[in-house]
Amino acid sequence: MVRKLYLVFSFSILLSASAFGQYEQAVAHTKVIFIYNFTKLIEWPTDYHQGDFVIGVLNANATLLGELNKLKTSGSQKLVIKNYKSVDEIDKCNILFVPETSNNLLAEVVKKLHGSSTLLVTDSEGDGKKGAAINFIWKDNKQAFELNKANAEKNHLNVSSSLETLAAVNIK
Amino acid sequence: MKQLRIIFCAFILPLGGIKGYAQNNNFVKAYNCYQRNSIDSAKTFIDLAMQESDNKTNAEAWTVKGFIYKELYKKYQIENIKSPFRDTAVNDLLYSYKLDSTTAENKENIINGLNYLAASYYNQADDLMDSLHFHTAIHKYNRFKTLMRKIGKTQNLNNLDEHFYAKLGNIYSVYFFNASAFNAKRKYLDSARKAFDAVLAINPDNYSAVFGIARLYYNQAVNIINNLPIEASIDSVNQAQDTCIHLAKMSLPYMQKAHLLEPLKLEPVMGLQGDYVMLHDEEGFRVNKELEEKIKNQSSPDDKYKSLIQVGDEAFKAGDYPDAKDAYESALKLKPNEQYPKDQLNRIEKAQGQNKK
Repeated sequence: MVRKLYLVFSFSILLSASAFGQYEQAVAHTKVIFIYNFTKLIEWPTDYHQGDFVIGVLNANATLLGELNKLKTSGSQKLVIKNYKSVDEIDKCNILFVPETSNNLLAEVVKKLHGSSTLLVTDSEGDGKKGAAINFIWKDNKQAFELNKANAEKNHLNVSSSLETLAAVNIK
Repeated sequence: MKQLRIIFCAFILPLGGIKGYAQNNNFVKAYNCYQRNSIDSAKTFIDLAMQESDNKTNAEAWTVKGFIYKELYKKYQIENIKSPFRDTAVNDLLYSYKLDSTTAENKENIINGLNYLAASYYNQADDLMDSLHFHTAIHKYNRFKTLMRKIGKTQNLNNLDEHFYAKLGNIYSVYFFNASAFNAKRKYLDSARKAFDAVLAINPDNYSAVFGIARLYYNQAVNIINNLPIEASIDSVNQAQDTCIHLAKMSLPYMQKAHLLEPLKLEPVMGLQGDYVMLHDEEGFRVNKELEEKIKNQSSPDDKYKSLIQVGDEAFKAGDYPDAKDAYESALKLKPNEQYPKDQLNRIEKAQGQNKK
């Protein structure tokens, strides 16, 4: 949860030390809501319907991990969050989120996911054209996403028309 | 926390006020007892005296009664926020003040007596200004102001208003952030804003009010995002983001002014970072992030410890136990051997335990 700016009522108002980093949490919370929506607006091949619904993250920070861990289920599947420390650790997952801080590993990730039906979600300008199916962007000061439907379909993912409508940019 | 206290020395009614009365008069007996500090006997005689028809319009008798009840208040009810003795003293002195028979000398005595009683209302208001008792504090403060106006002592009221309403704005802000029902939130938001505006009308550069307003908008924006359920639709996220941008724009000029007023304080710099994140202004964010680091590096561990204790104490007084706990724990990390934050953490634990019951 995003911490509020602390209220102190005296002539010298201070801010609680605990309020540090609150905006990071707000941004993480927003992204996780988006990711949860993707679980509902993308259809995975049938072999991804069995077992747990896995959302992987490459080097998630504590804030993002905290928000992701709020997710419990996707349809009838139990939702499991995996925080991969390296590209080598990545295994079968429904969604893989590569935060901006791990963007330098994107080419390696794309190679690793080749042939799988993992929805690759990225968080850096231009990534929508570098193999990601969904890339978080800022549009009109708001968190939004661009969709590369072709990249999704290459991985046998079925993108709903609603998701196309919700995308701020549809990369052709 | 810096507190304004009104210190008013106890004033004893001088002897010159009751010349020319028979010595066996109850009123004179009461006065003599008062002079000898036999305050209980003084009460008995003055109560009898005031039943005599001659004294009903006797300004001096009412004055003496007021002073005797003032002493009774000091002796028996100084800790009683609803002291009937004090109320009686105030009413009697005011009544005496208005009577045609009141002399200039007597009026001066009355003003001195009322000054003392008014100060007691103010100091109680200041002591009671916390999340649990602020309604009583408002009542006491208004009583103080009414009294001061009635005796024409209005010179310092603006300063005291500035101090009082800044505190009140912050109390309402706590309630606003903690309220869940829409109507309650609206009510506390309006009250907080009104209180801060009252401060700014007196002093546009009051840091507490400027930062208070900035924080009201900022935290409102943050709460909107935080309170979005994880299952929220993308449409509702977009709507929430629109509202946040609007609120960040409202917050920004106040946060900027707060920073100008107190350039070395961390809070506005951090608030600015948050505002700029919401407005996706990367440059604004970067500049303030760098400023934050600079300010942090300039603070000594002692300063940091003191600040954290201050934050903890204020949060504790406001009933915001999670933030108080965070602040005391952080203070303990800086000075693990200090007993005070440990004691406060114990008090928080007890208070939270009681709240759960």
